[in-house]
Amino acid sequence: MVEYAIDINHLTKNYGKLAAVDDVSFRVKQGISFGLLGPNGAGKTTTLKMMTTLIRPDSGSAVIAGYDVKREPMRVRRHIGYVSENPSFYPRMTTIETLRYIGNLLDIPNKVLEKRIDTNLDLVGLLEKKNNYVGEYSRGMRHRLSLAQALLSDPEVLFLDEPTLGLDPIGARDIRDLIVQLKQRNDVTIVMSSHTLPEVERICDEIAVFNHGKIIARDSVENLRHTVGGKNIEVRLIEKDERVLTAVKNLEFVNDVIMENNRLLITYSGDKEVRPLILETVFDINRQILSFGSREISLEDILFRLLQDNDEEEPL
Amino acid sequence: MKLLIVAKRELLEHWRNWKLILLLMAVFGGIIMALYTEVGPTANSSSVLDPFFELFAILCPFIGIFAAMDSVVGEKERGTLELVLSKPVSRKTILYGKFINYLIIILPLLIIELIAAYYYAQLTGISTYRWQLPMPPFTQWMSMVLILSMVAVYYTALTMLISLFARSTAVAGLIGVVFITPAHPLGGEFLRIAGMLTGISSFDQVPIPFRFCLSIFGKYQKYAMTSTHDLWICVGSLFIIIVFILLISGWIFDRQNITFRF
Repeated sequence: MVEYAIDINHLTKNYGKLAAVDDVSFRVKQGISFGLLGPNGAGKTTTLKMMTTLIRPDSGSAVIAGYDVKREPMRVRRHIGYVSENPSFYPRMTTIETLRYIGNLLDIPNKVLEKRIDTNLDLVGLLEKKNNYVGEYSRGMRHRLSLAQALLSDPEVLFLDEPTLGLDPIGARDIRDLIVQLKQRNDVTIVMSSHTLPEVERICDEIAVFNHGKIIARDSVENLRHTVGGKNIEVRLIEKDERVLTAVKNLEFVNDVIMENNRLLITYSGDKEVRPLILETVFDINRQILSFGSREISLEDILFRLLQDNDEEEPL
Repeated sequence: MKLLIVAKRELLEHWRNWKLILLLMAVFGGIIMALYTEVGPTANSSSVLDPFFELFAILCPFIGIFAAMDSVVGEKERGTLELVLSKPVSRKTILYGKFINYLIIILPLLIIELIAAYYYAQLTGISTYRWQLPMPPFTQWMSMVLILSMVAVYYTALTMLISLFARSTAVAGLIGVVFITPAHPLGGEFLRIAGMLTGISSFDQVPIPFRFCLSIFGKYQKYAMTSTHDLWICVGSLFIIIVFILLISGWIFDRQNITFRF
C-alpha cells in the first residue's frame, strides 16, 4: 500500500474560458477521510471526476492508490469505488443482476463476487431486495445500492459525491452511519464532497475548501477552527441592526464580524477583558439584546468566512 | 470477455423493454404489407422481389435507427454511463458491446423472417394468384436478404455514431432518418442525373472502383441483387463502410469530454 492514497499536482481542467479546476494540488494519506467543500461550481465535482478518471485533466497529474489517472486509468478504476451524487441504474435489472454486471466488469471471480454481493447488500440493508427490479427503488435505496456497488471492488479509495443529496433525514442518517462504519475499517480512504456540513464535521478528518476552481484552505476542521475561527462571541438582537455591525467592526480588537439577520458572530483577538467592551458597544446602540456569549465557531461559519475573505481578495 | 458482458446486458435490456419484440413485429408488419397490401409490383416488375425490396429498403434503415438511437445518448439520459465508465472497461468496449448486441438482435430476426416469408409465399402461392408473377429463385431472395441485412447494420452503426453527439434519443432517431432520404428517394434522382451528365445509362458501365461508393444507394442495392459480382461489391463496400464508421465512433467516444447527465 502506498503512503498517500491521493496525490494531486497542479491539476487543471478548463471548459472554454472557464477554469473549472485551476492548478489544484493536495495529498491525502491512506486511511484518512477527506472532505471537499465549497459553493456550487467551485470545482469539487470536477476534481472528483478527474480523480475517478471520468474526466481527463487538461494538465497536471493525479495519482490515486498509486496509479496515474492519465496513464493507467483502468488500474485506478480497479482500486476505487465511486458513488455519484444522483445514482442511476438500469431500471429493468434486478439488484443482483446489477451487482453481477458490475462485478463482471471488475473481473471479480464468480464465487468471490457472490459472497461480496451478499456481504455488501447485508451491509446496506438491501439483502431482502436482491431479486427486486432497481426501477422500483426509492431514492434512498438507490443511494444504498450505489454504496454496495462501490464496495464490490474492495476499494482502497472510496469517492462519494454528495452521498446524502435529496434524502430524507432518516435515509441520510442511515447513509452517514454506513460511511462512519466504513471509516472505522481504517483500510479505506474516503473522499467526500458534501454541502451537509455537520456530516462533513462528523466524518472527515481533513477538508479542502474550493472556490472558483482553487483550494483556498486545507486542514483539519479543528485547526481551521483555531486559525480561521479565532475567539468568538455570538450576539442575538431582537431584530437586525446594521448600526451595531458598523460599530463593532470599528473596534480595534475585533477581527471580523458576520451578520446573519439578527445574529452577529464576532471574532476578536485579546483576552477576556475585551468582551465587556464589545457588550458595552452593542448596548450603547441597541439595548434589545436577546443573548450574548462565547461560541465555538461552526464549520458553516468557517466556510462562510473563508469564502468571503477569498472573494474580497479576488473579486470576479 | 467484457464485450460479451456488455452485449449480454444490452440484450437483457432489449428483451425486457420489449424492443426486441417490437423490432420483430416491425419486420413482420413489413412482410405483411409487402405480401397483402397494394404495395405490389409495378408494370416493370419481373418478380415479387421488387415490392419486397422497395419496402424493406426503407424499413431496414428504420430498424437499424430504432435499435441504436438510444445507444449512447440513452445512457447519458438515464445517468448510467457514469456508473459504467467508473469501472475498468474501456469506452470502445462499451460501444462495440452494444453493437454486437444489435447484430444479435437484428440479423437473425431479419434473416429468419424474410426466409420464412419466402417459403410462406411459395406455400400459399400468393405471388401467382395475387400478382401473376413467379417467386424468384431462393439464391436471388437470399441476395436480397444479405443486402437488406447489411443496410440495417449500416444504419445501426451510423445511428450509434449520431448517438454520440445527439442531445436526446429522439434527436438521434430523427437525424438518422434524415440520412435515409438522400440514400433512397433522392439518391435515385442523384444517380439518374449523374448518369445523364456522364453518359452512363446502367451500373455495369460504371468502373468498379466507383461502384464501391454506390452501395449506400437503394438503386444500386436493387441492381446488385441481380448480379453476383455486384452483390459482393455492394456487400463488401457496405461492410467496409460499417467498419470505418465503428472505428471512427470508437475513436471519437474515447476522446469525448462527456456530459454525463442531461
